Amino acid sequence: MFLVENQIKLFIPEFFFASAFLFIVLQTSLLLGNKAYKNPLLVQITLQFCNFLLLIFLVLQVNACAINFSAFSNLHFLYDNLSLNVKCFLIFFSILVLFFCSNHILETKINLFEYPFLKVLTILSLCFLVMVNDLLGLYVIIEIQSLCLYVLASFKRNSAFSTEAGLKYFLLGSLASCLLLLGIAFIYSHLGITDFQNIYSLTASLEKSKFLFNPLNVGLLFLLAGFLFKLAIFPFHM
Amino acid sequence: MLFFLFSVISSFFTITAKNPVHSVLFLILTFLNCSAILFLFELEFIPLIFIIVYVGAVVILFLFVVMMLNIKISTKSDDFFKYFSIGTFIGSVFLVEILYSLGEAFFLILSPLGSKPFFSFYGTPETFNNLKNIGILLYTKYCVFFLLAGIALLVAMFGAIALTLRYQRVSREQNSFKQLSRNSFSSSFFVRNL
Repeated sequence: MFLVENQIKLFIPEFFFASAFLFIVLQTSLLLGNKAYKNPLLVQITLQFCNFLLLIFLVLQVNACAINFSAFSNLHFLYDNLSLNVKCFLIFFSILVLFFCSNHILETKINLFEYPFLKVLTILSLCFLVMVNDLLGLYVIIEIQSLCLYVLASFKRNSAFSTEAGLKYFLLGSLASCLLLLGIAFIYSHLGITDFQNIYSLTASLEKSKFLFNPLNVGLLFLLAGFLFKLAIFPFHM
Repeated sequence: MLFFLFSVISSFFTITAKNPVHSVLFLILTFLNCSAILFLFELEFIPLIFIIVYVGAVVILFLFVVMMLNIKISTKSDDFFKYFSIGTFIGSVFLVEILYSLGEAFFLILSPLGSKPFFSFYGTPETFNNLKNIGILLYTKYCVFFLLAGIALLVAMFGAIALTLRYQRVSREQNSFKQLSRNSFSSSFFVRNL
């Protein structure tokens, strides 16, 4: 019970953000389904709403920074000064991004209201990603983020390039997440543990294996390969 | 043992069957046999997932795709030897890796002493079964990840709707009054062959 209570206390900004976001989604979809308005264009309004929501999120996060100055971790999420500060930076710059993309939406005529929602969900998953302390949670969060990015890559439906890019990105990205999962499975089969701090303390105390390709090393290699595939960095770039 | 033999034979036929529909059906048989083996080891969760996810969804999807694409005869594989070397290389690397990590269990099977190699979950100190343990863990310890998985499903729904739905001005909707007011006299027609 203590654990659950603490988790909820730690995630008050995120919980607020996610629930308010879901409320906005519900309202916009109801508005869109209403026949009296005849297919209204809701992109700009939802964009401004999301920006406002991010602003409140930033204020809550700064507030959390001021209150919880002590480092705290509860096995799945690391909650220290570094992650809090990174989150504040992240939200600030994402507000700027959303602010500047309203002109872009006007120019490219993206009229679907899901566009800002997907960006906001990407930001939410990034906020979880900076605090995550567990391989399982890492995989789930990266999967959310990359699903958002697949959709955003193929968002311009009437362009063949956009569709092709989205499809290629989806295929390569799913391959990369398979590699990530395989690496996680190898590490788990070797150590029986998925959270970072315990992995660190176990590997520090374990004696060095003579065999270079022991499952731990191979797991870390697969993990690294998956990340590099996701980011398209040097040995795995196309 | 019977399930093991059946699974090996059906997986062999999955690769070698000429008709893709037959090969997909053999794949289903392989999955069912594997899940039966896992049931005999008293692991309930994984075989249920196998049956529900793989047999129920993925393989049926494969079957539909194969049947809709209507590829009847696959050509006898000419490029079997083209991919043979790299395939064996990657396969042997993975085999060595798995043997190294799970080697003790495998060698216990081979040893003549015949001690029980697999870990029986029946005699674990907690008397819950496998499914119940997973459920309890999922809703207490990993509840945040469970919520995040819900968000992932929401994202998938967003993506599917945003990429496929087109708002038509004149959409074909059901006119329920018109449907209900039909009777047998106005709805049956004679079509004359010309």
